[in-house]
Amino acid sequence: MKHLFLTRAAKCTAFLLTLAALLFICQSWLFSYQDHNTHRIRSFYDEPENSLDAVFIGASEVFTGYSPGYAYENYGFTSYMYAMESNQGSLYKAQLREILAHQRPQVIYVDIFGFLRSVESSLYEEARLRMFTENIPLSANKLETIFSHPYEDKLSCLFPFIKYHGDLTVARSRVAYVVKRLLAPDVPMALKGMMTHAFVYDGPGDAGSEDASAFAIAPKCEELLLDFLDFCDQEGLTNVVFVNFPRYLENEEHHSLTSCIRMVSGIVESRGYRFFDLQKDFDAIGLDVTRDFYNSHHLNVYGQRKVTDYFGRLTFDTLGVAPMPQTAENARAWTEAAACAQAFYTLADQAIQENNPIWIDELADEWLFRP
Amino acid sequence: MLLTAVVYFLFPVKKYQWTVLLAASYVFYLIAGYKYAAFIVITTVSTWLCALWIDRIAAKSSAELKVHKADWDREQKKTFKAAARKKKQHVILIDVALNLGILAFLKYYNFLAGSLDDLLGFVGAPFSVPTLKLFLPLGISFYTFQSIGYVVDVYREKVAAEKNLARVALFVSFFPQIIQGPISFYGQLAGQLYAPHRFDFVRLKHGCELILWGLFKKLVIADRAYIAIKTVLGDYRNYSGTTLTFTILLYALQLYTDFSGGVDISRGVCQILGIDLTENFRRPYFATTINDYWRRWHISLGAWMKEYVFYPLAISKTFANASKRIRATRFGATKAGIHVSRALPTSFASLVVFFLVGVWHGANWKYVAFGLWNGGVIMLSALLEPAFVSLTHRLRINVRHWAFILFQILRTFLIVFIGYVFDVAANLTDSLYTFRMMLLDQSLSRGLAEIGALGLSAADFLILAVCTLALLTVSIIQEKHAGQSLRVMLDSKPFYVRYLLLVIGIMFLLIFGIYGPGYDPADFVYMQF
Repeated sequence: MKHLFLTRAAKCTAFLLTLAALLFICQSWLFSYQDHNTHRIRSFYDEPENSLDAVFIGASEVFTGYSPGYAYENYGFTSYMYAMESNQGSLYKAQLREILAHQRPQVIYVDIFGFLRSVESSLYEEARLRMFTENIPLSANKLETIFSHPYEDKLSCLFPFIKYHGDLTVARSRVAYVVKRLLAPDVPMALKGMMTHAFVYDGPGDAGSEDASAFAIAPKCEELLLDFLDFCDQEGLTNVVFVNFPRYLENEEHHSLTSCIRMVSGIVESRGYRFFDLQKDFDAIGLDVTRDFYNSHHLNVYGQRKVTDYFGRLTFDTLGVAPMPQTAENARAWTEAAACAQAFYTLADQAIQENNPIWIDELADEWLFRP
Repeated sequence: MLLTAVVYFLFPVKKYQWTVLLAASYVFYLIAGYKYAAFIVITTVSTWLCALWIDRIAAKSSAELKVHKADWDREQKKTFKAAARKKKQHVILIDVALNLGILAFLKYYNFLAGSLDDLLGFVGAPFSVPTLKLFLPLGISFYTFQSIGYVVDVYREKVAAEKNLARVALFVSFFPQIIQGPISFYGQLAGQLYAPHRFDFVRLKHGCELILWGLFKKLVIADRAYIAIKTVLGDYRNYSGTTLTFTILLYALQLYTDFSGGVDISRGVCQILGIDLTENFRRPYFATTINDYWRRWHISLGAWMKEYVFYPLAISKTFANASKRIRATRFGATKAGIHVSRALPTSFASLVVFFLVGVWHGANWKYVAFGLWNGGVIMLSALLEPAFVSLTHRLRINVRHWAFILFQILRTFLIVFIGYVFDVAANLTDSLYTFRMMLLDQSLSRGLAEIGALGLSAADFLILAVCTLALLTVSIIQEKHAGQSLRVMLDSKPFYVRYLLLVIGIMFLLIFGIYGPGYDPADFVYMQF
């Protein structure tokens, strides 16, 4: 009787463990949505702990407008972009918590565009929540983010397999990426989250709306910004710096975006935090609207280098930050990242010259199989 | 369910173990919708009281007969028994009127009001019949039939009336079967419900396998097929006859897998608890005649109708007299006439049964048509049976040959398919429209293009095809080994074979099941009844 019980218990345990293992593989690998956003968030956790001098929080303007490898090569400081497409101010606090749990950067740059939304619902999109929470380790912060978010289906956020099961396009792209990595030449891959579109935009700039109030910030944005600032105060963070990345705008002075940025920067500065509006520093950065943008809101590789240079000067000269010493292994990794940044630039530049408007990020075939 | 099973098996007083099931059933019912609870309580209490009342009348008349055994003659005893029987029948009438009345009112009032209103409008009457905002309590059709069956069984003295109200409440509300059956007879179920049960690993294993099989049918096949069916039903008149034909075929698959899948889950749950519910489906699409089909499809409803409607009608004086009247005619003296006189009463009773089956499905003229179609075919089959036998004889057809059996299966499926046209359409007008389109508007190219845009990808069609093939294979094995449980057969296979099959089955269900955000969860089809 006892023997029968033990045999059955062992078989059941083996069965359940097999199922659990298969489910784990399916959830974390096969049926797990992957794109450059998810890859960027996940790769943050591959950075050695407390090894980053600067971390950026923001949206696509950040990961297209800044080059960590180039910054390391020219200014010696390490940085990472904790950024994803259309990142929302409602997630900034949770993202800051993630950063502080793994890094102690000397400066945290926060792109204010996440707080510039005219419709409250666009602050709480399911896609952004998933982009973030599905790619961070399990923690109290992750649980709080999921359960405080208005999106109703909490269980599928905790167990993404519930959403993506059966989605063969997701599984196919995962398998395809692994196969491509195996087939790709053995060259450095680490772009540290960079992305670009090999294109030079020749205008016109974003003219905004004729009605200046059309882009009025939703009241919730101010609430979220104040909450974020309160959190920074509570944590005693004196190294948080707010930024606005440059855009190609028409009639800038009367643009609706300008008045919104003015309002937000007013709040930030009134709370004692620094705000750098790169929109006002076009000349100092050396930006050329006829050459440095791939659309009216995003910089191409040419503009990216100029802005990175500007951040280098900002970080050193204005903020007085000195790069922290790195271990030999880290230094090697960052030297490799710098080489990748150069290769990234060369590839993009060549594509622009050839009028071949490719998208380049760490998952792109053009990057994996570059000559 | 897990909590119920744990509490059930750990309950210290085995004699009252069934109270755990009662508590679970009512918690389930209240979670489903507390506003329904009043109706099930009314049915429970009225059923309990009426059964006790009948039992009391029977006991009193028995006692009275004993007392007067010596001094009453045969006629007096007969008269007394008839009076007692009449009293019991009055009680049944009260019970049926109350419970069936509630069901009928909630289910059919608006339908009848609407139909009457149309008629009044047609004749130009100055007033109209109002419709009401009514809701249908969960499982009302199932528990009403089940409780009426119990009261009738007490009347027939097949079972003794249960004195404990809580036990009757459990029988009426038993949670695994309340949503969509099977409808159980009190004599079959009660003993199992109230008896103590010990945990049994083999029952747990078999129950889980049955639940898995039910979930596979429901989540992988039925809900996937429903995506395409829903698309067509939402825009009926813009599809070709080919697409409508395909949709009905898909509906045949979806209805079977949805309904039988749900019942498998219920039976699996009960098996874990130590209770065996009757099978409700037995490979209905393998039926060779329409009679055979209805002995394989929704078996418990068929059994209930046979027991409480068909037999009472078929052996009633009215039908017996009708048979005699036919026999008394000139036609009745012929061979055909003799057959008709025998077959007509029973086949007419079948027609009535199927009329009721149709009406039971829903308050719509299309369901009446559905019922009459099935009943009419059964009636005609019974009446023309000698002619068919004679024809097969004359044509020297070997009725045991596989080709003939296949012909019978396909013929039966066609009859069922026609019935499904009534079932799936929104109303009778749409059903007739569908028939017209299927006959007159067949276009393969247009059909294929439309089918490709019904919301199912190529992968979905492939999954449906593979799963249907798997279902067919299992059904063929079950048909060949009728009487043997496939799960017991699986137990005889080596450990690694069983585990591999189970792991593959569970992973297939988890990966390809229709659940989660982005999917519209399809309720069990028979839940609406």
